[in-house]
Amino acid sequence: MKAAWLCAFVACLSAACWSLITPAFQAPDEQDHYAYVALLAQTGRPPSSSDEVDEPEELAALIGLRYLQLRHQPRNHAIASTAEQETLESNLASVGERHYPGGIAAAGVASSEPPLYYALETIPYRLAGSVLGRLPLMRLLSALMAAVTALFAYLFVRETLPGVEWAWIVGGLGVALVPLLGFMSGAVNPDSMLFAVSAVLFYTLARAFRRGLTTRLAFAIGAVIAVGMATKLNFIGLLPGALAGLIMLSARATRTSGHRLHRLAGLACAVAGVPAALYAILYALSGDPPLGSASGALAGVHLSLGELGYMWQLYLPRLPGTVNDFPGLFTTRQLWFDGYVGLYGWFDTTFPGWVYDAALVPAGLIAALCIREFVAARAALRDRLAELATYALMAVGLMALIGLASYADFPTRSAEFAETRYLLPLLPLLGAVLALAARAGGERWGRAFGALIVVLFFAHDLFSQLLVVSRFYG
Amino acid sequence: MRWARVALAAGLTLTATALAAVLWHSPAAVARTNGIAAEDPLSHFSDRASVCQADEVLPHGTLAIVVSLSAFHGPRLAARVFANAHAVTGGRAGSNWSGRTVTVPVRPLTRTIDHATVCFAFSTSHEPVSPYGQPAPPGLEATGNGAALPGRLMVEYLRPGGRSWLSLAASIVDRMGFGRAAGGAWVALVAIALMIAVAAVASRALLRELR
Repeated sequence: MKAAWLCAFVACLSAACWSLITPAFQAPDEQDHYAYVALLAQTGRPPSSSDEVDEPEELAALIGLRYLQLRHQPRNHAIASTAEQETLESNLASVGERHYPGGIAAAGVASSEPPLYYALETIPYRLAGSVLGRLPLMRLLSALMAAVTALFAYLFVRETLPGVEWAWIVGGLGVALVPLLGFMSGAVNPDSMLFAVSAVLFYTLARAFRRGLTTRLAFAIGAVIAVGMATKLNFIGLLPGALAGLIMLSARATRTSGHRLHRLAGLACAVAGVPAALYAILYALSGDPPLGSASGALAGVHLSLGELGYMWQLYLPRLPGTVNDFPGLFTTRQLWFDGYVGLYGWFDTTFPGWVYDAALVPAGLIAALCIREFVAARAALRDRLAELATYALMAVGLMALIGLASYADFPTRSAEFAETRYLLPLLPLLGAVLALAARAGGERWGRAFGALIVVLFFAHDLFSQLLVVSRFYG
Repeated sequence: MRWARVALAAGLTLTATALAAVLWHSPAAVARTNGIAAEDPLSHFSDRASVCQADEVLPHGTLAIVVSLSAFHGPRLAARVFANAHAVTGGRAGSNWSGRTVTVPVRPLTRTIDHATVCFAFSTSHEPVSPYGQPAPPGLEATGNGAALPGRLMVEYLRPGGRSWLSLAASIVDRMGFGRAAGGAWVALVAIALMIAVAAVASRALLRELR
């Protein structure tokens, strides 16, 4: 168990470092997420408008920090002179204690999100007196959530691959050192909590598959789903897989014990449904649609062949006979792999092109080693098909959700939500892949492979941070 | 266990070597800019397009051109530079660039080129690509597929910088202290300490668990 805590510690340290080097509001949508917290802390109510942020203090900070000049413009650097700092401070001083004007409650793209993460962030928000003091503290809370992600990714690997103890640390540390986890968890963004809750969900399901579904575990799975639903709407993507897993676990428990244990799945679903029901009731009482502004987005979903083709091509090469929605773009490689290797700031901070080509080599080796181990253990896998199907369905559900959301803006934007960070709720699966890759080396070489994999992830994290430093302060 | 130790030591040594190589490397620096700000969209292209701009000066040593084109998932881009109707250099940028500028590496120039025409060609099928710039007097505008645009694009020319990252370290440490409530050199120093701690804790955990 000590190893799990060490993984958590490493993830927290890495995310804390990211929180220091990333300039204020130069992480995706951070200005909107900050505005949501400010609104909640100041008025006790979630936002009611998706308009641009209009809180005077935050606006003063954005102007003083030259937010718009930096965003999407990698040739511009963060403020770097005493004069600029003084202008920033005088802007903030002139705003003083004026906060939200009455009746305006805008938080941009964050406004449709559920409130749990933002409610937690009101705690560090209240500890400091200005936006520049609050933001680092709020980012540190996100960094703690990276620790939870790595902790439960390690525990997930331990549950799913119990045979080779030494390989667990490879999966746990690998996840802890994923640069995108550090970057997103070093910013104010509910993604950090979504990754953590998703890791807990993977772990609880893995535990249930290995040790059997008990009343306590069913309650825990339900509670985790409830927390996830109250954290970020993207969590919905994991639900079909999680529910299918619960049903299969329940059926297996009924078969093995001879008792009717479907009540366990019912218990989990009931617990999971509580916040969604409360959310809907609160919105209904205030005269809004049942899921707030998210209702509109979900109402726009209508599956067509064109949409299915688009979703396929968003991740994989086009099938023969289908329309090419991404001409000139190899989505698997360019959107997802390159996005994982390095795309920071406002998607404007990238490595030189050769780095992405070079990264294919270690990624290919890890994939090959993992497949080798997978094939070698295929006999054992036959008994775990239900478990594998659960994880696969969770992954497909999440990917389909991203595809649906992207299709809503297609073709104005070819892939609006094709951001690798949206796949990070699947990080525990990456942990398992890394552990399997290390195991492929066998007793003689496996540990050495594991050490090399962890060093590779550390180097990736380190050079990603240097890239961000050079872009903003170079 | 012995091989795990060797692998860890070799990996960390290789990382430290790569870090040293990066620190000794000189980043590209802006050799010249055409003085146009990337303020206004000049047009939107949703098909095959060639955007050209005359009267540019490319300094000696130019190895990359930065141009103000905007897209979310930008297409592949080819740059060509002409002087007296002859191509003098060119290069390509891969697709999936994002933002309001794109950098195109080109064959390094061995001399300064005056009165050059720079052209950027791309083909986009769905997502529009927008050149950004400022209004310009008639005759000086950039062209899009041969037709005059309402202004000129921002273009910058990069060449190898004269200072290594290591020699820039002190100013970077200073710069990291701005834009915060309590700024100062401590920001960079704490960041360095945190990454050293990450390496130490991860190595210790590995050595402990890989026994």
